[in-house]
Amino acid sequence: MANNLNESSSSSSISFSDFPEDVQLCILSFLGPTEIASFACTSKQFGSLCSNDGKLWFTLCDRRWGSKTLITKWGEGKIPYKVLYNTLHEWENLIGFWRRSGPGSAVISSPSLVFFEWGTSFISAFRVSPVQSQSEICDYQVKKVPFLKMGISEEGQIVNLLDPDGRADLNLDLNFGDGNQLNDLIPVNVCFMGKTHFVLEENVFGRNSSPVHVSGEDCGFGGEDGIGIGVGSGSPPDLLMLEIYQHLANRTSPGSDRSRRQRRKEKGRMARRRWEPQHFVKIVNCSPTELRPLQGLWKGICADMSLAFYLVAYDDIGGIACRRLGDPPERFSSYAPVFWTSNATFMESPFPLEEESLYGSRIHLQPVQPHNENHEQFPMSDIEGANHIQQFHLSENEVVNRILLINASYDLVIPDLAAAPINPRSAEGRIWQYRDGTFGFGFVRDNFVIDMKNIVCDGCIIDAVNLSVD
Amino acid sequence: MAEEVSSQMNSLSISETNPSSSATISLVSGDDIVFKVEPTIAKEMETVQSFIDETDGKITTIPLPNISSHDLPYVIEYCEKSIAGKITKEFEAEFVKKLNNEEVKELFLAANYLNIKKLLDFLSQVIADRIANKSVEYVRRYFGIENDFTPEEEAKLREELAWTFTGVDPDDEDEN
Repeated sequence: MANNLNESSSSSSISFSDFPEDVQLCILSFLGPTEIASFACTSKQFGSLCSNDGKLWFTLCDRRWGSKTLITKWGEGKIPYKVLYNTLHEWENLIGFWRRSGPGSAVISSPSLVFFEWGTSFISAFRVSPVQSQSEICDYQVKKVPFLKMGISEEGQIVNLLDPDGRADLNLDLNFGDGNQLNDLIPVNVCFMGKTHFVLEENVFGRNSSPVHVSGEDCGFGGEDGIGIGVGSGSPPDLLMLEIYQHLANRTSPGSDRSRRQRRKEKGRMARRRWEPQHFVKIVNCSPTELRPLQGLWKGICADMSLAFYLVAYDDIGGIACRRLGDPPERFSSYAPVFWTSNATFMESPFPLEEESLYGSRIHLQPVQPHNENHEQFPMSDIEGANHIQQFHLSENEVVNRILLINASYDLVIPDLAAAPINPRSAEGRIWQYRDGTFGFGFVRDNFVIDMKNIVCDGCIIDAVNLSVD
Repeated sequence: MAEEVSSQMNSLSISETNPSSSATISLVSGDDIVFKVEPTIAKEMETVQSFIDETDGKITTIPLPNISSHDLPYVIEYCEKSIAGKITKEFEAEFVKKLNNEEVKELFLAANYLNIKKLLDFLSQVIADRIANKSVEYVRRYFGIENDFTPEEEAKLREELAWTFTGVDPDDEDEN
């Protein structure tokens, strides 16, 4: 045994070929496609290892996305993992928040914010919006309405189904070939335009997503549905397919009744377009970083006691702006900040007495929850009598860690005041960053704090209510 | 062979173990150097732990014939940090800096043998980083792979994969 060791250590180099195959795969799983290609060229043995779909490409998929989705379930487990790798490599960037934009988006009444998340064998997107208070009760709940589901059929075709009305339960394990389920759903193409922009377009050929028939007369003509489904997931609309289709139609069955009927039907389909293209822009910088601790999407109860989404963004010269993400959209289009500060330097503890009392004399705007007492840090009845300093230390979560001065604001919280000239004092305020990393803000003129809560935790919307549109 | 080893181990444990530290585990490298470690360290090494479990903890001296006394301290150091929850990017960067390509590979095999998942993943990443954006020749040299393609076959394969060969770094000086 000692001899063996000496032998191996005396040889100048350990060859990769001597590694057990699972160990080889473990190393390879950390490589990108470029390195895999280099590696494939090193020798015949590794050339064949690198073309081994079940081993290498599965390992690559599993390493990158195994913790987020069930690699073996995509495409009913019948598609090559290399196809899956390339697809997910492109789709991965979708995960997170996107905002509808572009011409005409202001007149669309549905929420403009869309959230993409991993599913077991698909990626799904939801329209998200704050739950609006129906009665007195307002909570931090976020409404999540099914919007889009992206998957791969067992034939390896990309199937993107849009739920225009948020009716269908897209979380059902869709059999992508089952036409019955698709009546309410619209096949769409997701056309990527760079990393932060995509267009959602109806896939007019893919409406009846029947399985591809490669038999009899269907193959020349009736198969058009099948052809269209997967083509051009990332490419512009199927103009080329339309041409090919027309060419085929004219050649294979000139003058046949069936053909004309089909063509009329096709024209009808074009006319009955159910989905106008919509543009989406990625909300990058969606979460805080070490250098930008306030950055990202937040939710908070605003002055009218309704829940709203806020986006806090840092500019390149050290300023911070907070905007309310508006639904209805006209609020968003005006896009004036709720607060703005040109200096992102925090005031650290200990704070001057006047700062303590400025914070301590305020109430935290929060959901009215009559039956949930342990959630209540500042009972409304105690507002007047509360001891300021005690309040300052009342809740563990709301112990102030750092304070930031706000020196400018545009009043969107109370729209009526927006037109009034801004007096300097109304623009003055504070951001109080709490120990748990969240924060609240308020203006000197007010007596309340608007607390910001996380919308997402570990890739999932928290406090989500899965609602279908009635 | 197994008997030989265990008798050898017994003699070692008699000579090296003093009674007061019976709780410690002795790891014996391939070149017969004994390393005493806390049982918590052994827990990190699945292979070692299952050995201990199988013998109901009676045997506390574990022969590790595949691991040299040069590599074992690195493994132990990593496990100690891991238990203390002190595996940071800085620690990993320092750790790797000390290792040449051969040592990385040896440690990798040691981690595989001992079944230390975290170390295995970490070293896989290190190896992957070291061949990132490198030429085919470099990768061959790095892994000691013999080229068994004919020039024609290789040219054909490279042509097929041509798009992937943009942005390849110039080869470093071979470290070995």
